[in-house]
Amino acid sequence: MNPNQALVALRQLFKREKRQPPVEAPGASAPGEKGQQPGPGGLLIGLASDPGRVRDHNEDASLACQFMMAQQGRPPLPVGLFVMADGMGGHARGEQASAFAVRLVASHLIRHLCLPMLEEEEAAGPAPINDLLEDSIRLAHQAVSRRLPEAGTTLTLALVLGDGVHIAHVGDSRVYLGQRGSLRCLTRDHSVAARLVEMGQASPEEVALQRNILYKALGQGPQIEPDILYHDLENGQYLLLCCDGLWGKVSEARMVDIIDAAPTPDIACQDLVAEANRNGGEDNISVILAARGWPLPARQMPRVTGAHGP
Amino acid sequence: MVKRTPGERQSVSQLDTRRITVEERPTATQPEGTLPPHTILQERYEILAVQGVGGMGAVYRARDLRFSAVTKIVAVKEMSNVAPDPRLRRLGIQNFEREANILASLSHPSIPKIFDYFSEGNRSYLILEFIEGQALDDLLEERRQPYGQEEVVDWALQVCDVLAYLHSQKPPVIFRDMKPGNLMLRHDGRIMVIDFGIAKVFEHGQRGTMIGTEGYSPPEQYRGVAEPRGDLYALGATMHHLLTARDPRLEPPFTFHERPIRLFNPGVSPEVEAVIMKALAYDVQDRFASAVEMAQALGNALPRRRPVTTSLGTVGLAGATSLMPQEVTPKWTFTCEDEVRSSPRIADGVLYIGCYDNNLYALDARDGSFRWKFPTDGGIASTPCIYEEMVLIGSEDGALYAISRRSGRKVWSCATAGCVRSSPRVEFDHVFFGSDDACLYAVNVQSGRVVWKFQSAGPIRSTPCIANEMVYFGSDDGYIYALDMRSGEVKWKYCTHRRVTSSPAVEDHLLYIGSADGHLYGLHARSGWPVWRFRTGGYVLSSPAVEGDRVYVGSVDGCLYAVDAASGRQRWKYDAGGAVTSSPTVANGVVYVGSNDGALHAVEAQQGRGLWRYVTGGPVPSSPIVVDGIVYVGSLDHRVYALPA
Repeated sequence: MNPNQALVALRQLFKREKRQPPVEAPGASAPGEKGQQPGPGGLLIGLASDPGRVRDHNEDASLACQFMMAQQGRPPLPVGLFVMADGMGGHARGEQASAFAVRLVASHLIRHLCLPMLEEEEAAGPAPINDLLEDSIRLAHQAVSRRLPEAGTTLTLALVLGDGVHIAHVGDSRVYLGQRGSLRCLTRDHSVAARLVEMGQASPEEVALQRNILYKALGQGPQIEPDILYHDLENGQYLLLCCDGLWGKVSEARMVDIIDAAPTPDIACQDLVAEANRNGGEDNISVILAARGWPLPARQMPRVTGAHGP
Repeated sequence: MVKRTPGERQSVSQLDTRRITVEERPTATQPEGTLPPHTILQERYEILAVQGVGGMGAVYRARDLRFSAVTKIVAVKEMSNVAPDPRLRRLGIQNFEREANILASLSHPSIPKIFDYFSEGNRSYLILEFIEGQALDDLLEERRQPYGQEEVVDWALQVCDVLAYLHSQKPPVIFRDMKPGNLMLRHDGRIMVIDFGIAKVFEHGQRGTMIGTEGYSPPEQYRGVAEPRGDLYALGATMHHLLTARDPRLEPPFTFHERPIRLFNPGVSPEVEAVIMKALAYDVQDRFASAVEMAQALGNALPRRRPVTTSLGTVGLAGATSLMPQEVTPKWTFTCEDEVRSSPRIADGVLYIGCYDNNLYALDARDGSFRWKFPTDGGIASTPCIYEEMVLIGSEDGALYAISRRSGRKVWSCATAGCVRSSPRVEFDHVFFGSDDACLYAVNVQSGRVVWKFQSAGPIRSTPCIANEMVYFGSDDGYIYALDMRSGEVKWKYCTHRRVTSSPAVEDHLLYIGSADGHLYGLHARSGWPVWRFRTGGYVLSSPAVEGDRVYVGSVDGCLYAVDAASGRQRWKYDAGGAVTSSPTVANGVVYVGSNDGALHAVEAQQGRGLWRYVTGGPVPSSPIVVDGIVYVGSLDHRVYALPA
């Protein structure tokens, strides 16, 4: 199935395969050739996930879908939903937790975002987006805590509505906002290392070894309060969701170079994974790229990268 | 706490065998995988009930059958060792054995005695002294409010005694997991320190994996360093949690200083707070050198015990110390002939304000001396708007007036079919305002000619906000509208079902507005999609003020709220003593707002601490403004006040 063509294109990345099969570009064209067309949500989507070179299983789970909500009397609203989870908990528990959390979050969001649209006009308007996002994460948190008490997972989701993106986030998977030549991290890692850097108690280099202690993760602790943020998503910009298997191995500057050089978002994702593997590939690597326009238009902007180092 | 290493991710909660969160269950529901009642272990311990379940097993209440003449109750702590990962399995057994060995070597009235240790099948068991009581985290959860300082200090002193004992062992034992969940309060008031599952015999310079409970653990423990002063940090964190009822596991690590104890619990003395903050010092060197030293400091910090200490007495003390009003004297006041509901505006040293005596006043902002007044034929609730050489104001006589600032004479007026209580806004040479005739007007600011008007289904008292080439406002018909600024065409509308008298503020992508449905809304300004809503306990007629990443708004429930602008989560609330219909203003880290309690309140913006209040002779629905270190506000006592900000 091609995620850019189906009305509701769901693709869940499942584990264990050493490499994702290449995703064919829409229409008849071969991958790598003059590329993808935007899907019904106006976005071009690429994704890739790989267990890396050291570990024999993939504890990451991710999901991308896009569609158009068009209804009489309302302007059509392009929607994109991107979810990434990086599980932990040893053996199969981590991958169960991440896959379970991604499914629960996505089904809650799609149900509560779309179904109210089909109800009668007189009903109350749509629920606040932040409530939807928080509820979805809270439900997943409770379900994971109950079913897999020893496991946990990061959970990062980006909901594109029209020309903006709503992000909810726990853990240290990241959302970047990019355009040609630059990339900026929008999320804040819930790791002790990031916290030490924020406090000015340590430099990013000093804490590189500690980055894998999370103080907030889905399925851990009594309650959960995700970070929630919003950003405009303009034409020519893209969202990059990735786990620490990518950002811990590939510098932001290098990510920009790889993405700018790729003929399609899907190939960009594969190239990012390949680069992380070249740099060691000690962890699972997952990437989702959702672009508003491709190839990325040139921008007259100096390269800016976020505060986070790999 | 989750410890992840590049090659292996694991959750420490797998090592956590001691969570005792489940209330004692009757036999009706048997938690999965636990031993059923009447199971007998080692032909000696008869399981009576499950006391709690954790990640790796359960804790049971059991009877020791060797004592046939009496009922001797013991606690059976189980570790069911079924982790498929052999490394985890080994780690689990190691921890369990370590707990057994450490407990066997200790003897202290606040540490449970260990009677036995054995394995059956793939489960291992500790037989421990049964403690009648409840863990402090469960008690805190039931209570849902902070504990008083006397109780907490009393418990902390008991814990210091245990820690001093542990740390004086040779070699010292580091508990490593001090938190309310590991402190049991017995019915006789004694604190028992339970769960030595990760306690560790201290070896100098040794580094290990991070282990402990996120939120309570000291910073060095994340680097694998476990030493006695880490337990003091965790005790400080535990006291902080008990005294504030703010769970540190829900906050980023090492942020206790951002939640000052006395802000949440004014009954705590500054001295006790200082002791706790010293225990919570980031640097090990800055903490107390030992548990004994911390106990001494706590003892000294506690106010001298009164002969009778009742909880009532503590509360009374809290009220007295919570607010220290500064003395505020007005720089000047000016008395009108009726209520001042309008809010002041200042330009070029002149203050303009409307009054229910029908006049718009122009006063000298420095000394309050009268410049001129302009009479209309109705009361003025609207707030003036200054545009070039004009001041614009709506009146309950149904007109909007443009008045020359220099002469105080009318330039033009624009009549509507209802009272004009909405305040005008000028943008791109047009003035936008609402009227009780349900219309929003766009008027040429030079000529006073109506360019377009938009009809809603209820009076419009909200003051429009112009951004993104749209005009945003609320209507008493319950909708929030976004109109095209040029044509007056509806771009979107959002229904709140109750009247919207509050005026919107737009900052970045969000529009903030209150409604009589009790909510403050954050709507996506371009599309009208609700991003969040924040519930207060009363109508929100006050208009939000946005400053930095916060939105401040008052509610008829009597509180001023600070809400995170992006997430809509409450940051603090301040009890203003009466309905707040005044709109807050923020200057230099201070929020100013009027209240129906008759006062103007100055509240510290970061944490919501009251700085001072100035009591006028009547309710203050007027919204203050701050210019050059002076806060100006009107009151229903007919006066306009200028107070040092």
